[in-house]
Amino acid sequence: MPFVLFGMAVAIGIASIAWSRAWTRRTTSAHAEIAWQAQLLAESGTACAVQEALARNGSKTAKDSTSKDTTKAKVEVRDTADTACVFHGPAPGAMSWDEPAGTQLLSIRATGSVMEGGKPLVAILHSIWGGNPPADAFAPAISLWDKKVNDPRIAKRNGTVQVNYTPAPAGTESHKAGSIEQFVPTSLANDTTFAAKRMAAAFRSEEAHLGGESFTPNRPPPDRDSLIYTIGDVIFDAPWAGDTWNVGKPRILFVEGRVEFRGKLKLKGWTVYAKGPIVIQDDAEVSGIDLYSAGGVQISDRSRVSGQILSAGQIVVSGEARLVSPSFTACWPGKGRDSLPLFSLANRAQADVYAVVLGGAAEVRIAQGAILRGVGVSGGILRNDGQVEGLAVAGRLDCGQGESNCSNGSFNRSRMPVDFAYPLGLPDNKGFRLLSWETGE
Amino acid sequence: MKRQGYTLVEVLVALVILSILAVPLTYTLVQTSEGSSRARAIDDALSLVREDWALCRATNSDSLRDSTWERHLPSGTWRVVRDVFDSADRATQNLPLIKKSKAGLFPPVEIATCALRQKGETWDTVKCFRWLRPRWGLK
Repeated sequence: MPFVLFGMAVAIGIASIAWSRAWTRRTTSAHAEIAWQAQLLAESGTACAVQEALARNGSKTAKDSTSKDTTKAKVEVRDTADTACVFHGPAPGAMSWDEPAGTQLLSIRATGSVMEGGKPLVAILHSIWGGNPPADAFAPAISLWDKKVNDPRIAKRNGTVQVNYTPAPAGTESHKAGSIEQFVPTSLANDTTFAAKRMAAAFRSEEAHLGGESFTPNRPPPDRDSLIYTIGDVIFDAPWAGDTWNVGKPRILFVEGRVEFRGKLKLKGWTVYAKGPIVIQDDAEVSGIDLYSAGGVQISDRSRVSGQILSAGQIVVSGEARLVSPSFTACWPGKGRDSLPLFSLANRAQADVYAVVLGGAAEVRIAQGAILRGVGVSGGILRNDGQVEGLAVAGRLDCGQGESNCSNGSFNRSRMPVDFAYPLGLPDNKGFRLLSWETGE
Repeated sequence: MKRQGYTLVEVLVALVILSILAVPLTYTLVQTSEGSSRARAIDDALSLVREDWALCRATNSDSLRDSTWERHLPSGTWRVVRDVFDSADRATQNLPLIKKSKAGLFPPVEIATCALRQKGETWDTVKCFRWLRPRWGLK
């Protein structure tokens, strides 16, 4: 009898272990299946976000890239309801996406969520998209529309193009007709109009918080998707030493005053709209950002920034700050005397960027010791005392007072990275390039 | 005095205990077997749908069509059915014809792919997945 009972106990034990393992396997399989559906939904959300952004800026699809029609898109925010980004069959879960502030380097954070055991399983997909413009226009080291370009002050020495030497090098192209428009995204006007409207709507909303705020590691920003502050400044004040403060999940921040990121902090994937200036300094690491400022942007010290920056007035990168690829900046004349459009690399700053400065008084300024790797486009002048590793596009090169102290920087087209991130809205864009892709749960 | 064997009562009690324990044991074994089988089926279904997803990704959006293909696996014969939400489906739901947006874009393509396993004469739908695919191409 005891042997019978013992045998039964052993059998039950073995069966229980087998059942437990089978149950675990079944749970793992079910989780994998739900996670995959959530991932598909996040991808679907990304498709919708890109679709929506393109509908907003009026870009042409890849099929339409052969079109010779390079007329500017109308400046209006379109009703995108006709893009119908919905499931017609039974929806397997929910999807959502953040609307990007600008559409030149599309930074999209989409989520897919499927219920698992009464709780949502959320997949997040963060992707950055760039454009694929025709290569021909970007072949020369310098493109100028200066009527005095035949007055040669440019020369090529040791593989680099240098200003203030004669004769003009083969790598320089002077344009008799047209303008710099082929280097300026046609959808930029739509982006700025959209951003301004979105900002105005946010400040009028009931979610708006009156007054500014100062966030620290002990007082982090609220756990909401969008944060709106009217009449006041918002400061992210991280300690200057010790551990880096990771500010947390991406949010959309609207501020009517100034925004400042300082100290050792890390910010990823945020969208920031500010009426005042945006300052990024100290050891701030800001990546995949989408910035819109009506008051200029200053990046200084040892901070590192990547993403898309649209600003009225000036974008100044100084100290040992870096604009890291993929990055796009655009600035245009702001209001007031100090708001002339300027993209400036001062001190030992470096930028891997496609920088566009609009307006007749526009200026791209690269100081001695600074490096612009990519494309610098100025509607007015370009003064290079440092290095341009890529392409400079300008009305003319600045030669200073009385043309006696021409800038002495170098231009080297061949050092431009082959995988450089071009903006999406350039005329005759030939489709999309996925620049980065990151998933998480 | 040496014991000769078990009494009838002892044997009967043992049989009762055995039968009581055999019921949950059998149930557990059946559940275990079914659980493993179900898990294997989900894994196979997921693998097959992923394969179809990769096929869709490699196909131009405008060339995507409803399709059915079969595969023999150790777990049985499988059928993968892809349903692209196209003009015919729109007509069924009384939806207007698909057209470009003002920006010249078509909306994304809606795709549903189901993995079915053969059970005798019928097909058992194990899993279905649904997603939207953009109509533009990647470089």
